[in-house]
Amino acid sequence: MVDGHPAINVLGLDLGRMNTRATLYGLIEGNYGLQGYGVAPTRIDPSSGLWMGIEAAVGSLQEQVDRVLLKPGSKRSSRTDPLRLRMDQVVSVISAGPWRKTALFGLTRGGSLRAGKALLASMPLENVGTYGIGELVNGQEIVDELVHHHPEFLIISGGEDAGAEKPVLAWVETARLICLLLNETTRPVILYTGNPRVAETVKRRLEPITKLYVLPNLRPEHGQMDLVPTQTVLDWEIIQKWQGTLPGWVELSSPQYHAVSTTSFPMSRMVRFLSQLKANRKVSNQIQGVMSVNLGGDSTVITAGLDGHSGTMMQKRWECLKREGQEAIVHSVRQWTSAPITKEEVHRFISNRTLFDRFIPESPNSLALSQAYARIQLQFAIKGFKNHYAWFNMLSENETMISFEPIIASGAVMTQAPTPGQAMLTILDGIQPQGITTIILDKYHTLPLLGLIGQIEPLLPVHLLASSAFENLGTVIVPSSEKPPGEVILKVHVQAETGKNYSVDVLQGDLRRLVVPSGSQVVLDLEPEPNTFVGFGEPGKGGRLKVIGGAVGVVIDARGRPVRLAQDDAVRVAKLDQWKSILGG
Amino acid sequence: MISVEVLSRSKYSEITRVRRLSTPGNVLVSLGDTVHPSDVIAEASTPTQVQILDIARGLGVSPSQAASCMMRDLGEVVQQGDVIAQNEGNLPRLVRAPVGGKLLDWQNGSLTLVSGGQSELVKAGMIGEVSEIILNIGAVLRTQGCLIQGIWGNDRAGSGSLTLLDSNLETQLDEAELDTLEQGQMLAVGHCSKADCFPLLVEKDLTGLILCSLAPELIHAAVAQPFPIVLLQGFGQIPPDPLSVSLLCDCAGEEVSINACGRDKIAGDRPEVIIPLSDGDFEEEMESWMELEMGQWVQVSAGVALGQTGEVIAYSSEDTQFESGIKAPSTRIRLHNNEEITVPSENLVILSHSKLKD
Repeated sequence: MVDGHPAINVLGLDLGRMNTRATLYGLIEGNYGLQGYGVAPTRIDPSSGLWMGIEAAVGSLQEQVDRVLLKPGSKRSSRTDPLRLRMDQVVSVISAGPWRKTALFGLTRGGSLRAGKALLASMPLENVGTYGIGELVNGQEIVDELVHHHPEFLIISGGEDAGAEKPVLAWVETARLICLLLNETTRPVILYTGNPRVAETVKRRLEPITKLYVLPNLRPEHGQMDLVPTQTVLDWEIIQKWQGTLPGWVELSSPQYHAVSTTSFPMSRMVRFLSQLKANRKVSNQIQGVMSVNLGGDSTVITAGLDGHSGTMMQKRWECLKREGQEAIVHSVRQWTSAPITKEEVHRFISNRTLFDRFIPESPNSLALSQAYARIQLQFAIKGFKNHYAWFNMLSENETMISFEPIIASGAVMTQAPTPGQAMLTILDGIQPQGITTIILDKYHTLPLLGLIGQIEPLLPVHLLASSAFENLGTVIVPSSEKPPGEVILKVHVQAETGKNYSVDVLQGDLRRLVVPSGSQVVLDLEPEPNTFVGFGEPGKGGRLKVIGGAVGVVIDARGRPVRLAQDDAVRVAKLDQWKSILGG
Repeated sequence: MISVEVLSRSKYSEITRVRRLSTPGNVLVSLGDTVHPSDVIAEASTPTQVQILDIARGLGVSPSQAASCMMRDLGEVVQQGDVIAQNEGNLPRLVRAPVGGKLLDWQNGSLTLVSGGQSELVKAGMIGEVSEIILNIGAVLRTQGCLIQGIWGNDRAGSGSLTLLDSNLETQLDEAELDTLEQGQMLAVGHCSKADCFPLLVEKDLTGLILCSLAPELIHAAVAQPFPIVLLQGFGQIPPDPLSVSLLCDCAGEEVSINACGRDKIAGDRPEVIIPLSDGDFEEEMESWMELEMGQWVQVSAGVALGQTGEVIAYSSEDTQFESGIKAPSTRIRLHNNEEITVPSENLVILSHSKLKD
């Protein structure tokens, strides 16, 4: 029993592009916890299907928990057999499916198109065309393009509530035309998310010819975005489409199972929930959100929440290569590689990495290269996130810095890093957070599952978040100052549990690590120089922090934002190596 | 047990491939037809040229009256000049179709006429026989022969008579080596690092290029070539895989097809070379995932020994610590030069149950 009602056992399945994870949640000494975890490669080709990966992952979990989760079946079953899973509650998140082609009709670049693009970027949707009011005159070209691309979804946005009508209706006619041109079985699902005043006309023109959803306006008022209702529908629709195409998975969404979702959607729900909790416990002068980052095998997902609102950004693994070009990425990766490596070696590494999903870096150079590329992926994703969500620019309306705490990170490049310091440094260099934050490693990629399970049992995510499933890498303090390198910008007075007290002078440009044993508490008194901001509301204002030591202790990152790297190769590599050593090697 | 992906390389395989449209259309082949890579299996056409005809204005009536003047139904196909609408009033007026097309939609006295179109074509991509028709969508093609799957292709298809630059594929592709190449051949080469070779290959009407390795700076040039290119081992200079060399040597002079498509995990597509053979002890194609076993011939997909191939001589599901500090299950392989290396098992793909006998 938990809080007076029966406890549940839940099997969570995470079907990623590279790996399938099976996680068992249940009671451990009165609290919900992670009882076991199994992982196996995901197989999504026609001959073996998803079920083989699920069976292998659950089989591995079964051995760990010494419990029968799979009923005996034929050894090399390629059929999905839902009755073989001996669980009352099974929830699944999936990112293994192909991104669905989607086109967007809207009006203004800063208004409905911006909201629409943020929507498309938040889900596994491949944007095959974005058209604004200026393109209405190019009807024939748009028809040609969209018939060629055959989008599966068409989002029509535009007109705030009580706003523009005529151009929105013009898009509706274009959508109608495209649907009539296409074969009935391949017409796009249309999501109307614009001015509700013309909703009846939209229904009359589109409902007879294709599947139509009329949803709350993506942009109900100037400066506001409301994506969640449309994301909810898209989440369901994407799952339906994947059921039709992913081999060996269709039965998993039978009524026997409680919930199925795309991976990014419940992840953003969790972050929204955590950010709301944070807003409820708000300490004055500190504006803090919550962030989650996943560097997956196929895509990078960033979700950030502030005061109960959230934004999500999904980018395919090689998106930055496609957008920035091979040469620019080769240069950037080389800059961030903590090993003396030529441009040609970087080029070769990246070219070959695009050919295979699975990769374990066995040499120091290949590890350095893969960690460097992870930084570039994160930096690119953060840049994309800022484009979609203006509030993410880490400054509030009155110029108070917004920080995100905690930052919950997952992905093999971090969870399988040889040392926690390397995982921490990848996040610090990739995201370059500000203010005060805590870096948490989601070792079992459980956050999206918790977002789903929370709908069945709200206590389960709360207990899990406080458990060892989430590893505290450490608190990070990022003092921000305009002083030149080498000058003192912050004094930190440390009171350890052992009674040993000491002080540290932090210089501009420093990366410092305070060795605080994992799990032990320290009190930090931060004494910034007059124009140094450390996250207590205004420059020069210090404060007291009670922190729990993480795997890396406590980190003070005074390298400045953005982190600048030396142009000279030897100096740069030495510095990158030094930073790695400072955080434990 | 450790499962890894498979890249089939086998002399005697039963090969079945599905070719399908993304939208219903017309299947252009029949059961039993022999097809070649550039043959069109199925096509789907969608009209896209749109004209809006203001019928009401053309007839001089109101939009509501115009509907009753229509002489055709929506969905009808008309020829240029056909009467679409007519008004029998004091001054009879006609509206004729300005072009041939389909009457698609009606709104407020205006008619949408569509014509022209975009076609989606699905090509065979291989030499084979049509073994099954998928109504309105495509066909299943079958053949028996040598199958060599690759890791990268430039998204073209073709066929031709196979020739090797040298019997060990150790010679790099060079302008000087191309003098002896005949017109219209399919060429197998160990390594290419010179962009200058491509125009010469085009002049020779090359029908396809099979490479063990390719310099990464030539990727853009390779994508732009009119002939299909399949890469077997990786980007950078890599010793040729003896198994692939042996298979290609055995098939020199045979008619070869290349489908240099991109990798599609859902459909199971890989860039590949297929050489139909009539005699042999044909086996079912290997599954796309298999468990690692002793004696298998494998290719390293990442890391220091990238692209190199060898025989599995030991493997362990226990973690091995590598020089990078990462721990992972490992496999020991003996390369073709008898050097033994230990690599993470995840960095392997299986090529064959065993290497070919010397």
